Amino acid sequence: MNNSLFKTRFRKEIGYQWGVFKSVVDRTIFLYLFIPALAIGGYHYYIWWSEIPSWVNGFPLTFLFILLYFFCWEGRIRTFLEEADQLFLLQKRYLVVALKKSTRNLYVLGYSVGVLILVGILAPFLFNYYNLSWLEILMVTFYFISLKALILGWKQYLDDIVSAWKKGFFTVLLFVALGAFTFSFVTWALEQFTFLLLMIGLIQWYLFWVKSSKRIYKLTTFSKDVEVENMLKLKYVRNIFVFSEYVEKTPNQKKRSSLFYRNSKRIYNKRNRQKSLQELFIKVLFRNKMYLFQCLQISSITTAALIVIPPIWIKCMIFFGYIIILRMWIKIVYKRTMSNHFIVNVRKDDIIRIQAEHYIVNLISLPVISIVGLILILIIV
Amino acid sequence: MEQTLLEVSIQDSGYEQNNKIIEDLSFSISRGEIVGLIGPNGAGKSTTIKTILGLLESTNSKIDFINNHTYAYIPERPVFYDELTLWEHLDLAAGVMGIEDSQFNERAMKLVNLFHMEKAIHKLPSTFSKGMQQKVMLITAFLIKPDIYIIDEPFVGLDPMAMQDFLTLIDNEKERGAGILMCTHVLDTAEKVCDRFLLVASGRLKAEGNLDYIRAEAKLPEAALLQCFNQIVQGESSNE
Repeated sequence: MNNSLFKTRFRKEIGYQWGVFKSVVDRTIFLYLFIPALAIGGYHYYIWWSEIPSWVNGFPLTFLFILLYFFCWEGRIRTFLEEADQLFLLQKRYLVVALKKSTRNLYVLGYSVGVLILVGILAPFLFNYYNLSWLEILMVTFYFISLKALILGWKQYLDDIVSAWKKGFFTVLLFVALGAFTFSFVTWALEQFTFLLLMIGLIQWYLFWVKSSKRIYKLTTFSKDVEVENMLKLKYVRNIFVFSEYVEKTPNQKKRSSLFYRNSKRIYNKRNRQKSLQELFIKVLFRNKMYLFQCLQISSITTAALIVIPPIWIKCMIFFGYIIILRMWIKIVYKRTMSNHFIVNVRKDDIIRIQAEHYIVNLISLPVISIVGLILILIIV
Repeated sequence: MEQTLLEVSIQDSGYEQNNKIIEDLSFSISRGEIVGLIGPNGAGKSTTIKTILGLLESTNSKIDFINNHTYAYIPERPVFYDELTLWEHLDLAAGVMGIEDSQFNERAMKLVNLFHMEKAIHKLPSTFSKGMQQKVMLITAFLIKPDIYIIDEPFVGLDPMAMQDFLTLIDNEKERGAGILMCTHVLDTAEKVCDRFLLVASGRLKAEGNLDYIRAEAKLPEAALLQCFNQIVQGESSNE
C-alpha cells in the first residue's frame, strides 16, 4: 500500500504531463522539428569531441560552473499530495510520509541525472579545452549533484516563509552567497586539492538529508505542500495558456493591491465607454507580473538575437518579426481581458471594443518597439 | 412604454453542435416582474442563462432585449479581474454602461455602505470570501440600474442581513419597473419573492405560471412550491 499510492500518483502524473506535451508537440512538430534538431545537435556534439569549436575561445571555466549553478537552482521537490488528501489520507500518517519520501527520492534522483546529462554535454570542452581529468570531472559532478540536492531542500524551507519580502531577501542572499562560495571553492579545489570537492559534497548531502527527512515527517506543511504541488503541476500547462486567449488563467493569489495607480486612482479623469476599457486593459497589463515578464521576455530575447547574430539583413528580419509577434501578443492579452464575464454586457461586436483594441495595441507596442528599434540602430551604426 | 423587456425563444441550445442541452424553451419577462427559473441539477438552467447572454455558439435561438434594454448579470460563481480593486470594478461597470460620474459616486457609496463594504473598497475582490464576493456582484448589478436583471443563485454565501438587503433592493427595482430573471434552488424564498415560475427539467419547460398555476399543474392546491416542484419533476421522470 505504501508504495502503491506513490506508483499510482506517479503514473497519473506521467499521463498528465504526457497529455500536456502531446497537446503542443503533435506528430508533425515531432517529425519536422524534434528529430532534425536532435540529429543536428547529435552531429555537432560528435564533432566537438574531435574538434573544439572556435567560439569557445575566451570562455573561462567559471562560465561552465555558472551554467551548472543556474541549473542547480532550477526545479523543486514535489510531493504528489492533493487537496482532497486532507479528507482521509492525512489520518494515515505513514502513507503520507511514505509518499513524501518516495517523491523526494524520485526528484533528487531525476535532478542528479539532469546534472549528469549537463556535464555529459559539456564533457568535450571539459576534457579537450579545459584539460580536466576523469577524476576531476567526477568530483565536480558529485559536488554539483550534492549542491543541487541541498538547494532543493532549502527551497522547501524558503517556501514556508510567508512574507514575500523576507522570502525574496533570503532567496537572493542564498543565491549570491552560495554562488560566490561555489565559484571560488570549485576553482580553488581543482587547483589545490580535488578531494575537497568530495568532502564538501558529502557535507552538503548530509545537510540535505537531515533537513529533508525532518520535513518529511511533518504534517503541518500539508497546505504549503499542496499549494506548491498545484503550482508545479500546472507549470507547463500555464506556459501553453499564455498563448491561448480562450483559456481562463489560474486565479491570482496575491493579497495586496498594486502600487500602480494605487487606491483605485483613475488613469482617465474624464472617461467614456471606450476609455473605461482602455483603463481596464492598462491596469491589468501593468499590474500583472506575468504579462510584464512576457513582454520583457519577448523584447530581451529579440535584443539578444539582434546583438549576437551578425548579418544585418537577418537582424532586420528578426526586428520585423518582433513587431508582428509583439502586436499579436498584445491583441491576445486584450482579447483575454475582454473575455472576462464581468463585462459580459459589452458585446463582442460592440464598436468600442474594436476602437479600444486599436488604441491599446498602438499605445503599448510603439514605445517598446521604439526602444528595441533604437538598440538595432545603435548596433548597426 | 412597452411592457415586455425580454423575449426568449430557444429552439435548441448546448455546448456542442450535436449535444443539445435545452430544447423548445420560450418565455418573456415584463416590467416589474420577478420570474423564478427553477429546476433540478442538470436541468438546463445555466444553459438557458448562457444562451440569453449570447455565450453559446451552438444555439438556435432568438433572444430579443426589446429596444436594446440594458441588463446586468449576476453569476453563481462571482467573476472578477485579479488586478482591479472593488472600487475599480464598480467604476469599470459604470464606465462601460455610460453612467455619469456624479451619479456613479453617489450610487456606489450608497450601495457599498448598505452592504458594509466600506473598508474593502481599495482591496482586491479576488481575495474576498465567497459571501463578500457575492456582495460585490450585487453592488455592481444594482449600481448600473439596468432594465433587466439576470441572477444565478443569488442567495449562496450571503449572510441573513445581506440577504434581507438584497430582497429589499430587488423589491425597489421591481417597483422601478425592472424585470428580473432569478435562477435559484432556494424554493421557499423564491415562493415569497417571485411572481411567476419557469420549471425546467431535462432541458424542457415543464410548467410556467404563478404559484396557483403551478399548484394546479401539480394537483396540490395547498402545497408549497417545493412540493409542487417535486411532484412535477417526479411525475415527469416516472412518465419517462
